[in-house]
Amino acid sequence: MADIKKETMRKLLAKLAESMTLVGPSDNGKVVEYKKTDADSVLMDDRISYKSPKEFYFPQTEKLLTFSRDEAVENTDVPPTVIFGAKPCDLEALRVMNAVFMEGRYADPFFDRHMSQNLIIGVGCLKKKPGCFCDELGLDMEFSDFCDIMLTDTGDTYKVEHLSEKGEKALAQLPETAKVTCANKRTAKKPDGDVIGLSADIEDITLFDSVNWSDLTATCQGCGMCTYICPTCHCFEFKDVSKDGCVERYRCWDSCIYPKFTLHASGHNPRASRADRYRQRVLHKYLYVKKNTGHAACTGCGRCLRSCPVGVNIKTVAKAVMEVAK
Amino acid sequence: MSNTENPYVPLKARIQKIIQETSSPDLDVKTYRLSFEDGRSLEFMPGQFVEFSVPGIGECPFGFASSPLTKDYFEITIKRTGKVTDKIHTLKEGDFVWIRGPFGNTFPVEKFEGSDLLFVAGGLGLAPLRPFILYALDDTNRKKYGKIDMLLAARTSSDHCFAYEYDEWRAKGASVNLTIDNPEPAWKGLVGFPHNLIKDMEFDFSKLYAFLCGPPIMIKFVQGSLKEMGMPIDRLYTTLEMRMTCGVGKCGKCNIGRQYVCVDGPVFCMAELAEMPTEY
Ligand SMILES: Cc1cc2nc3c(=O)[nH]c(=O)nc-3n(C[C@H](O)[C@H](O)[C@H](O)COP(=O)(O)OP(=O)(O)OC[C@H]3O[C@@H](n4cnc5c(N)ncnc54)[C@H](O)[C@@H]3O)c2cc1C
Ligand code: SF4
Ligand code: SF4
Ligand code: FES
Repeated sequence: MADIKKETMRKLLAKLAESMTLVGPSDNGKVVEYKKTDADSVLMDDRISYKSPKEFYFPQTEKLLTFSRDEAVENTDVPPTVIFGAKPCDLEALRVMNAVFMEGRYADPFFDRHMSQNLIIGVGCLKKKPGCFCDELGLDMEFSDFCDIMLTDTGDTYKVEHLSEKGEKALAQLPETAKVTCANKRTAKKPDGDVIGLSADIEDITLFDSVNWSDLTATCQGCGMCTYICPTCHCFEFKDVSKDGCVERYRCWDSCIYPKFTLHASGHNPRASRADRYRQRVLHKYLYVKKNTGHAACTGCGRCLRSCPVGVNIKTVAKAVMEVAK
Repeated sequence: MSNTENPYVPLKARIQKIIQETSSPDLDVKTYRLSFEDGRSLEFMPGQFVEFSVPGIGECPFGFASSPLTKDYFEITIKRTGKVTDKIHTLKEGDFVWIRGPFGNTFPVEKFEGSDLLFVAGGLGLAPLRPFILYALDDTNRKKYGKIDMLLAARTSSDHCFAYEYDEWRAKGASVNLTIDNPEPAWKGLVGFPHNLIKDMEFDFSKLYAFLCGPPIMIKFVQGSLKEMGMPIDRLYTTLEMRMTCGVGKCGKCNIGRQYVCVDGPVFCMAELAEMPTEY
């Protein structure tokens, strides 16, 4: 590990921003959010953004295709982006997203392009924020290796380590005097006690009917906020838009919390009630994705519980489900 | 695998022919015979589906309805039921549509070799079974399978799809039984629901596989009757329909338990379904 002054880090970000879009945590006066910013204004403190940075590798709306007369031309235009200051929970979420989009029978070429164009600079958390529970899920709030460069905040300086060739190349652009070699030697800390989670050995149907989902989710308003700000939620829909006589196809975020998500043309809806839909959100995150990728799709970032207008708390729900699973 | 490198990119296809399948005023089903403009053929197996686009209107999944052995074209049978299918039904022969695929799993046709086959279809449920029927009845495959029985149900005599083909199927040694819900003056076939009629049919349950496609209620009752008659559920198959967007296991729409109907289905054995949440 090497130490770099935060001022020097800003210089490096300014340098990178000459050829890439820089996004990072920014204070808009009301909340901290991820957005396009510049090296002077990007936040270098421990606050967590209210939304995750997922829109920079899985945009809320993204053009996929343009239909021309004879061909559907895929959009390959992905701006190279530096994502600065992603928290370990966001990086672990990116690991899940990457597994969903890149593994299995098909790889998603659009996601792939974002991943190859992005430079991801993570920063470890100094302390838990209200609502955070990454540690209770067994994650290390200080470190994740699913990034190109990992920073540890030590006040005026960062301890720096690179985890990929891309990260190493980026660090090589540091001003002469501050050049560092700093390959990562750390691994994430292992949890020492019990963690919140479900075993991937549980049958899909075991918890489906045996949990009182209606009681657990009685107050949910079905607004879908929790799915939009979640760093692992990845459901989407296509939308066609006519522009200058051409049709363009976009993919837009969708949400399993909305009744139309599963509504058939016949009017039949396999998930007719709000409880059915919240059950899907919880079991998909804690069980189904875990079975398919080896990782649960909740990283305890706490964003959904901080933002839910009625205080639905996925941690409490997950714990109640664990009780039934015992 | 999809026939384009990027599975989201469709190819332009021309409508060669449109066949009107039904003539009831409230059920409009047409078969679209399609071929790609660039001449390539679409390799698929029974049970698989395509994503079918009308740019500007949208995209929908439809099962293949033609024989996988036919290479010059493929057919899709479509019921008019909403935004995209309404638009498709206004298209004419010679018009263009956009197709990506094939997607999904297939009926494990080789596993059934040496066995008798029973196809029970309700209405449009015959469409996703037709590729397998045509595959099994083809001269190159017919001798691999034993008895082939069908019980094809429709609400009225005007609603049997592919009726123009039944004589050919019979000529190839299939027993094709037709039924409608209520009596009609000139009707010579059966009358009544398939779960009742099936009890009058005879099967050798030691070597039978059955394939049920149609309205969920029909599948449920027919499955009940067959079980009662001695059919083990691990020899019963069906296809699931879920709302779909991507077809490639990413968008989350068709997820049931750990499975994605677009990738792990749409063909499921009933024994497998019994272990899945009933969310379809
Ligand atoms: C694997 C599979 C195979 C199918 N095979 C056939 C077939 O051979 N013939 C046939 O007529 N129909 C088939 N369907 C159903 C067909 O996809 C729907 O009827 C069609 O999507 C309705 O679209 P719409 O725009 O006309 O209806 P609307 O109600 O206006 O739907 C709007 C949008 O919702 C989505 N949608 C609505 N219902 C469904 C549904 N049941 N499945 C998937 N997406 C849906 C579509 O994206 C559609 O664009 C199949 C569905 C699946 C999943
Ligand atoms: S849990 Fe809360 S944020 Fe999520 S849909 Fe329900 S009310 Fe909205
Ligand atoms: S479910 Fe909630 S706590 Fe878990 S990763 Fe998503 S937003 Fe964060
Ligand atoms: S249709 Fe997108 S996951 Fe199955």
